[in-house]
Amino acid sequence: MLDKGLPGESYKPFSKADLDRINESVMGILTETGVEVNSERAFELLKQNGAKVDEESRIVKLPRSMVEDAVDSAPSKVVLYGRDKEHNLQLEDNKVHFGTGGTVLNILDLDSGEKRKVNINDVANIARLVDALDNIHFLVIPVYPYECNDQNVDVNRFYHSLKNTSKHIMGGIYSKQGIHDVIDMAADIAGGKAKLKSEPFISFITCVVSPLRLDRDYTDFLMEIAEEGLPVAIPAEPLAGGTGPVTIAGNIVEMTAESLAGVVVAQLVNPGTPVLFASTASAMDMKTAAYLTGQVEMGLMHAGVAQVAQYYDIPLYATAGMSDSKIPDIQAGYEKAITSLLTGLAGANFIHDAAGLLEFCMTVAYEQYVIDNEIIGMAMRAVRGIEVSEDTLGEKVIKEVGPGGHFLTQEHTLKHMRDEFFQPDISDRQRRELWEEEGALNARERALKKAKHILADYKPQGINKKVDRRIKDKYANIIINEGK
Amino acid sequence: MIDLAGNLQILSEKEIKNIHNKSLKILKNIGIEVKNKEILEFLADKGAKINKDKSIVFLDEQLVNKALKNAPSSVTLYSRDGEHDLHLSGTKVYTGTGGTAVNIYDLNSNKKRRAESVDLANIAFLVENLENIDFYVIPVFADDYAKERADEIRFINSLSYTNKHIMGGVYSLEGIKKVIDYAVEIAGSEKELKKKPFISMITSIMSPLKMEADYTGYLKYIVERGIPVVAPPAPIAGATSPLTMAGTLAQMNAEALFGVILTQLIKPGARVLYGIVPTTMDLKTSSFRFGSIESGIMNAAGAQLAQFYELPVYNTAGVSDSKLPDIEAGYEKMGNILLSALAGANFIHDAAGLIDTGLTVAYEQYVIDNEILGMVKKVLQGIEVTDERLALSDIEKVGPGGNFLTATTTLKYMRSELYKQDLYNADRWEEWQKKGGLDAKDRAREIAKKIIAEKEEPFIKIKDKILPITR
Repeated sequence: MLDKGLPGESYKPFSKADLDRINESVMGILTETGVEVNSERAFELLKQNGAKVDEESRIVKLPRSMVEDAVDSAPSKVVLYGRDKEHNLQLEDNKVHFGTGGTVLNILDLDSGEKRKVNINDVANIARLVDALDNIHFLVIPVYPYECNDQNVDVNRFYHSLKNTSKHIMGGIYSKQGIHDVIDMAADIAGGKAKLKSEPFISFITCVVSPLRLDRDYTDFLMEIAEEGLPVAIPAEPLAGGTGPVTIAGNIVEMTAESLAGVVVAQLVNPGTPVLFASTASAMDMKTAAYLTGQVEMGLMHAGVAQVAQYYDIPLYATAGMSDSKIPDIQAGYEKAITSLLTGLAGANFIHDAAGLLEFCMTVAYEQYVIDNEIIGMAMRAVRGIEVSEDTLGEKVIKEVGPGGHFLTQEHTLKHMRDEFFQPDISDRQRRELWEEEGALNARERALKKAKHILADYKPQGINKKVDRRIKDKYANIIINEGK
Repeated sequence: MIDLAGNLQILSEKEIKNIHNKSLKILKNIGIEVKNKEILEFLADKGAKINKDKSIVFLDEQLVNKALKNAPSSVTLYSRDGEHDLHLSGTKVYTGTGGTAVNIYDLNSNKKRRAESVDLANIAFLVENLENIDFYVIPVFADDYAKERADEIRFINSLSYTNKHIMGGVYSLEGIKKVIDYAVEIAGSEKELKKKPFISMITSIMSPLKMEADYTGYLKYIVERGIPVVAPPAPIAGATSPLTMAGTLAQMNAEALFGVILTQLIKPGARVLYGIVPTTMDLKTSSFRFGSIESGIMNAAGAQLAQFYELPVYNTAGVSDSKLPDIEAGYEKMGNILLSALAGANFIHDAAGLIDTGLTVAYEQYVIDNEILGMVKKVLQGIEVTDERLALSDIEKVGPGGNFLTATTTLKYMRSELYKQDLYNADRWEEWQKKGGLDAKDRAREIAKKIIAEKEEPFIKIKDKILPITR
């Protein structure tokens, strides 16, 4: 397993001057254009704190000092905990982590390969798969099961995820009640709310609607969470050419203004509350209006956004590693690799959507998690770079071997063989004859086998039995689906 | 336009110096075995220390620096039509094919078979028509002709169907002579060819630290005829070089420099590329890997080393270890090509067509890789930050809740800001299924068939020869 949290510092698309210009543009938008605030509570809060408001249009113009104060008060380091210490994520500077994302309604069936609706078991199975896959550092709950509705989905999504992974769990939310149910449930598992707050192993995602609109429900959710002091990511999703300027720089400016508006609200509610500056920005297909997820521009955008987050010194929730391909084919391979690498090399902290997703972020596939685990591992290896030391430079061993010799049995080789190379899991290293003997499987088929294997054998830590019973008793709306 | 090539810095300046110093020590103290008496004596004449019994050459720093000073920091590899000249210098990035594979997936049957002469011509024509493939490194060995004719068959068939620059590995001195003579005929005169060489050649250095008799002789001859050349070492980390990447770089750098130095001692100013093909050994199966991410990392770092010496670099990215164009081929190729391109490698070869650890090519893979290369080149354009692109006035005009569909920036930049991908399929699921549910590989094969169906008369004429030379 590769260390998570390695610094991504080798790729920087923006110069310092670019970043200053972007900042000036962002401030220009927040102070002059303003944002539409449809949450009564947020509107009043901003007004009280000195924002210029227009009661009729609900447009709020934020004073520059208010934005700058919020940027200052937002912590520059957020730790997202796992229920196992080894899964803690130190989000700061340019430390890189990768994980899943969503939220989708469809899945490619493990057995038939057919596309079908996501069910409750899929929520549990994906969490379990993620728990077993070393290079996926966290779980952003990726799916919305068809058995649920907005009233009971939060508790179901979090319960089944908590039961199946001890990695950090982040999720979107669908009702105010849901937020409180989920927090109570997690507090029960943690052994009290204070414990949960000091080592939060769950966190939430709200959103700002592009362009420049703080939606009523999601902003209310954001304020509830900020009040609770639990970590929250506030992504904006401008689509270049649709809900954002078609130019990458313009789209980044708008996204930054939007997410910062959310950060301002959270910091006014509870100064110092942990927030992630967040982007799900991409481009829109001009013909079909689809959210494009496999475009190279999305990778460029998030490499740029990583620098913007570093500029403000707020940890970043970024987006990469998706594909617009319908199936795990070669297109999915190159699309995922390019956006994941660019975003990782630029040092984005919490790169979500990087495992499992296909088809314009509308479908997941079990085998895709296994494949993306490999892609993330490779990206992290590139992030790690090359260690140059007297020992790794190997002068002695080169001398020892001399012209025409070989290094196979050298001590230097044996010493470094475990940690120098990323150890692939499903990538093909077999001679052709052996590969044919084993059925001439492609990488997707090998990944499918591995996914089935994990789901059949792997046992996660789970939830303490007594606590589990208590939770189930308390939340009658938790759906337990024993069958398929 | 902003050029982001060279933006990726795998090594710090200090680390580069560190590696450089180790390479100097290797050249001075460990030396290079040269299995060619004539060259050995030649090097002794030039001031190198020689161990005659062991055929080892030692180069001190002074000799190294003197020779490197003569090596051109910019080399132009010409195309025959002048449209695809490659100006190799600084961090300019060009991408192209590579070889040498022995197998190919048949375009019609999709079965693996031995590559033949006709494939050389077909792939050349395919590459001619794929816009992101900038040059043609001859990708296969034709199984339908004797090895003695390999050079002629490979170069002539390639020249027949692409105007892009052609580079190839070579197999015999006779063959090299023949190929250069034909090129002279095509160019009109030896002088013309030397002025604008549209062919170039690859010899090799054996890792660790060894030059074979034959290849050393070929190198000398090619340089003397004024044809650009590269002599890349291909160390396998853990087998023929230290397992650590830093160690492989130190050794490989010594080897690559030796190739450059030799050409400059033979003919100061000779057009040469700093060439590298680093790979890794798989510790589980003991087979070597082309598609490992470490191979990509070392190639990117190697580009930085070449930039340190101000030498144009020939490096390697885009070979997959997968046996077929599946998702593994997608991520392996993209990962490695992206790293090399961001590092500003000048001549990234092997970046199209190759799978199966370099043993096999597939027609559809060229089409797919053309797409990968286009995406990577889009990344090199970076993010332009200008007032107009920051789009403040549009954001102000559109305001909260509006849309940008008809905004000024949208209309002005919608074609240039977002890369158009040929292979990309924007259909919704149902529509896609209705059209047969083709994956990217199937779509690519259709595109390859369409292009090759348009192949007609060869692009060149050679006296007394019927072209192409195929069975």
